[in-house]
Amino acid sequence: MRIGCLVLPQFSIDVCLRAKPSLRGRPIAIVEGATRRTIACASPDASGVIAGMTPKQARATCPGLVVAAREETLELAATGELLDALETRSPLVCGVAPGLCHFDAARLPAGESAAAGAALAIAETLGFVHASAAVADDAFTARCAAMVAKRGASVVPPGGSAAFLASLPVGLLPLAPGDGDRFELLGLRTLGQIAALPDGPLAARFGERAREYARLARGGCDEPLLPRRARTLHEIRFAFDGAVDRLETVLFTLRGCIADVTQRLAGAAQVCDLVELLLEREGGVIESLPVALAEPTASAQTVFALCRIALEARDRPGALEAIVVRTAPCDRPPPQLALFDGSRASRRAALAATLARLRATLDRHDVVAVQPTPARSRLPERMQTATAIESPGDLQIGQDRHAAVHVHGPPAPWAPALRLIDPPARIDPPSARAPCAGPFRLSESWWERPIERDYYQLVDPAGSLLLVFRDARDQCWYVQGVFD
Amino acid sequence: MPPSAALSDLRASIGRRFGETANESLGAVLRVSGLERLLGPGGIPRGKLTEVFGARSSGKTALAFAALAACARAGELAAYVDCAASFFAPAAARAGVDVRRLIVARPASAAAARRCVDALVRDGACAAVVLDCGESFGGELRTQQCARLVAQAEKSGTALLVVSAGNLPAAASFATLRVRACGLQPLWQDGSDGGAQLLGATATFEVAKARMAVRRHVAEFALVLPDVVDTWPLCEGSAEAESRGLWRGESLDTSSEGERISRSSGASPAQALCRSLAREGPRAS
Repeated sequence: MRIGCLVLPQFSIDVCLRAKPSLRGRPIAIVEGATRRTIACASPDASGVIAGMTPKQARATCPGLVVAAREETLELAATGELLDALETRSPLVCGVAPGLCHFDAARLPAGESAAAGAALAIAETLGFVHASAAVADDAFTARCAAMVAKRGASVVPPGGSAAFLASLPVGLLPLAPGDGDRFELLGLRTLGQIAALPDGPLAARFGERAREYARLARGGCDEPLLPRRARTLHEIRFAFDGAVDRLETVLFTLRGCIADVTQRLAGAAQVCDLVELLLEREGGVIESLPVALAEPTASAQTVFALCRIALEARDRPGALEAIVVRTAPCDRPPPQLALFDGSRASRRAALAATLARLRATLDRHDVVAVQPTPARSRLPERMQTATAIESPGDLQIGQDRHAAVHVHGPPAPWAPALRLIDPPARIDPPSARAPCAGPFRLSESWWERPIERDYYQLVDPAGSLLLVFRDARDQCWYVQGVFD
Repeated sequence: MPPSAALSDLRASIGRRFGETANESLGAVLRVSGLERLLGPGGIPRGKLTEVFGARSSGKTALAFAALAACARAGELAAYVDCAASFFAPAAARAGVDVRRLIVARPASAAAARRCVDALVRDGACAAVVLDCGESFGGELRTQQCARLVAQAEKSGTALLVVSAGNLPAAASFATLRVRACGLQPLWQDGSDGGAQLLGATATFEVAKARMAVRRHVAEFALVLPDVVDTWPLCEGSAEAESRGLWRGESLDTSSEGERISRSSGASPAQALCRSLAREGPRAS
């Protein structure tokens, strides 16, 4: 087996430049993470910028730096393009990670060097100027050869993997956190030194993962080339004879379309978690209506019920000329029925249906689980965090009912429930004779936007028990909650 | 024998024969701890619409949280449709609500709220659904819409609890049980330096409409603020507050106010309130 590897070290930056050509020639850094506060990679001309910096640090290091967010969707599309193009040169291609592709280089008519060169040419054609390719006996060696080559193509001769890897640094191994430092302390700096060590003592010191390190260092990587999964799109379009504005007619048609699409899914033993309705109006206007399913399914009844809710939730359906139902099978397997706990399975199914209905009715950020987070802040508006509920797994429904009763112990005494008013509403200063308790001084966020509040519990003239505060900065009074 | 006594006897005999949990698994009602003083041996009926109405700061949300806490104790899922965007998770958790098993929906309009409740009661995934209408929902729930919701709730056995300002005629008409929250009476305790602190409140509820309880029955409930109230009323528990240095005003304010609070009481506010109520006894008519 001969495996080729195409490495694009600046993949995220090249994808960004493909989307925004106007940034070409300027130093660029890509940020990622949920908060977009960590630099993931930077272009070679962004001098001094390294991964892990914050955008502020990076801009201070390199004036004129453009910081762009990582676009996973665009990267996915670019990887697909690259693999499509590579398939014209090799029968088996595989996208391992963003910017890392493997392909089968065995028995290619033009030879291995030509295959690697062709891969480079393809990458350059698609706009990935920083690319390197290599061919070797196994995937790890090919990857190391491509990474070491920096630019251009290289070929490791058959049977020469161990010799080629011997001089390369240990850092090329997929090391667990801390292992690199430990190898450094022991003076093990090359793959050849790792390969020369006996497996047993190595595993005794580093754990079983060290056997894998040694195997990779000896050129014994057995990572297979996985064939690309064909992504079939199931789509059906129904054009009406004339413009239709009655919802019943649209639903009747929709039912047939969905039955057809779900039959195709079920026939291929597939399920979907998203159905897209395209509503074609007069004048060529097309409206997309995505309907998300809480759990993957191929049930026509479920899909139709959710699509109907989504259509009914729209204020004005309008006149339609055609309707398209489009879905793609999802990667997740269909949910399995629990064999020995029918009640839990049915509860989960009912919850999945409920969540799907809610998501068809409301925006996904409007169906949430709200957790109190008193450790985060003492300000009422920051004492809770809302998380969107995506699937039944986000709610703890797996616990046993009796265990839940046991966990919670005796019933909590009734307590005045505070209804939060967010943002706080400004009120007139309360009467000095109003019954009240306080003040409770809260000072927070002095490092960004200082907050100084004196909180009181008081009864207003209408008899309502309120939580109010006086802002020490503007000396105004605000009501933030009502005890109800 | 009055119906409530007969029902009590029946429950007792079922409990003796099949165990105490058998009553709860009957599933006909959502048994809310303490609410039997108002509703007799019953509770909030499942599969029916119950309306809790009252003015602002009358205690209706406390009753809704108590119902959700009952769901949590039974290990059931519940949902809260928050039309007023006023749901406060720390208060709910303090009342015993399992917020990990609570779906909170925040519809943007009354129509969306209606569809949302319809989706929640249809499959029976939630044992109780609370529709918190806020104060600006009036007139948005029509008779036929309410009838549809009640029919769905009946089919799925979901307890549908509407918390309103009393301005929903359709809900009033279809409700099996209507409870009026008559108001909160704050309980203050004088401190040694003349200041006051809030111990809690008493809430009065009246049965406005019922098929299984005595109409016009009134009961008073103690709503206890936790012990940490003398420093900051929104923390979940004293242990946590103490661990965060929030105990008795130490980190809140070093001014004389904080010292006043720390000197003010020997017993905890909750203990003082319970003692006070024990002396007076619950008032029911």
